[in-house]
Amino acid sequence: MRRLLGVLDQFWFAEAPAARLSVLRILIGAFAFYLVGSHYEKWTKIGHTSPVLFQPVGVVAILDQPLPPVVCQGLIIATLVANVPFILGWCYRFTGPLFAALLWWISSYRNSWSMIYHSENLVVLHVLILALAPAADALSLDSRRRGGGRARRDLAAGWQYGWPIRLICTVTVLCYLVTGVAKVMGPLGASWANGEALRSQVAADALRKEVLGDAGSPLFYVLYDEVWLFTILAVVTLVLELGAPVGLLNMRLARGWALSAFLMHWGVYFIMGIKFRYQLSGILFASFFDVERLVAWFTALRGWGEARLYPVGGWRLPKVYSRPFKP
Amino acid sequence: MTELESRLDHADLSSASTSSCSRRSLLGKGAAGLFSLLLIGATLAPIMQNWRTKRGIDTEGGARGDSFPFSYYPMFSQKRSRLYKVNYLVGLDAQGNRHLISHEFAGEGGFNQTRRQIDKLIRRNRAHTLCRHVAAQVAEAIEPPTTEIVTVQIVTGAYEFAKYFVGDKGPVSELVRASCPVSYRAALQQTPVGKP
Repeated sequence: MRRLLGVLDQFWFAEAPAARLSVLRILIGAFAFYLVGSHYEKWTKIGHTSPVLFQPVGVVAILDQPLPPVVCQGLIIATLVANVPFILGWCYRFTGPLFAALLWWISSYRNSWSMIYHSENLVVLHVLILALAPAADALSLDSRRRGGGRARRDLAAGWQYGWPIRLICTVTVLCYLVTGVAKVMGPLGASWANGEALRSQVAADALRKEVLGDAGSPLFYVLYDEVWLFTILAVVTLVLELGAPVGLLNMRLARGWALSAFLMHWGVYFIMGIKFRYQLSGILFASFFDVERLVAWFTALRGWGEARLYPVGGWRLPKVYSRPFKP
Repeated sequence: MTELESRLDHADLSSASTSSCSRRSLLGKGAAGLFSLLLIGATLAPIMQNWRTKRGIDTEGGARGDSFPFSYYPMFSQKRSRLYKVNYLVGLDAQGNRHLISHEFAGEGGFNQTRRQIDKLIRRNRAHTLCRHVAAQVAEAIEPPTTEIVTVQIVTGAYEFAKYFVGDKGPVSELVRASCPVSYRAALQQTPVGKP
């Protein structure tokens, strides 16, 4: 038993640098800001939809009827406001959970009008994990305010920075697994892999987009008769979805899986014209990589830019800011 | 002796501090572990929905028991026949020419959400309400060919994929669920030119 606990401890609470978790906070927080900000008009207008179409899901299920539109708009604005300290890591102990709760609420509310946008699930879950983890111990206003050992904390590693990253990766692969299970447990069973099912799904999507005045993918017309291609795509999709948990066993496998899933979503975009923005941006898969290196690259790039702009003498940033990051 | 006592005291303090630190660490790991288990459980739990509902689809045409952000991701798992039925909006101009009307005239929530809302309203026999709403929106349009539309129809069309994607874009069959005039433009069409 003790040995098992030891193995679990080593697996789940492996050390990771504070900066890695903080970079994830910044990337995922920035994506959430883009998601809410770019849909601001659409999401506020949803509040004016007929109550007949209100079908509450998730936390919003506590409501019997929709909120007044002005309350809905206020909550969206509050979410955008709370998003800023989340990214900057300011008073994170309070602003982190507050932002996560607001995002959860407004996303659930937005999905309570007869259609669930599944591409938003993981953004909410990732933000929730980050909000309850010490994700502002580095690269944040909080860490700057504490002063002194800013750089030391940025470099620090600990189990408390490792488990949230492990959990983000786990939740990500499990969502893919659940998606794969729904396909093989659905009415088609394993025959989903023969390509016909996938082609008919893409065809239905393309057709309804055309008759309802939205843009489909012109590439689908070219590929429609190539059933073999859809068979390959269906098999690859099932392998990536059902095989996703394998990615948890080994970091190299995990990165291989993340890269393949990332490419799969780009394939879906080209063939179906469906934009899963979180997946296409690559931010969904960032937790599988040493993203703290971005800070080093950014610092090096800035140093290179400064050297070109101010070759001799001239104004420079203080040394502490221009020092390259070494993990 | 005094030095030894001092060393022992220091060792005791150090050990107490280490023990307190490890206790805190253990508590922290316990809380993190519990949260992780709950979240993993909540992520996996919707899988049961595949068994719970017959084919995961209810009479509403949507996925029963699906939720947010914990979902069983039923999209793409449905069985489709070669004949595909879809609801859409058609506009007729004064000459009787057909124009497809964008989903944006029916709702605000984006393509798929509006599509689902159209389906839901038709299922609940509210096609006429939808038709009137679309007609009112069309009446405010400023760009042709929408400005030429005098009648709005809510239609269910059946399409055959094999024909549609080789260029035969007509429906195999079509059922008009509701039809209504675009109020002020229809009135203008009926009013003789030169009269108020």
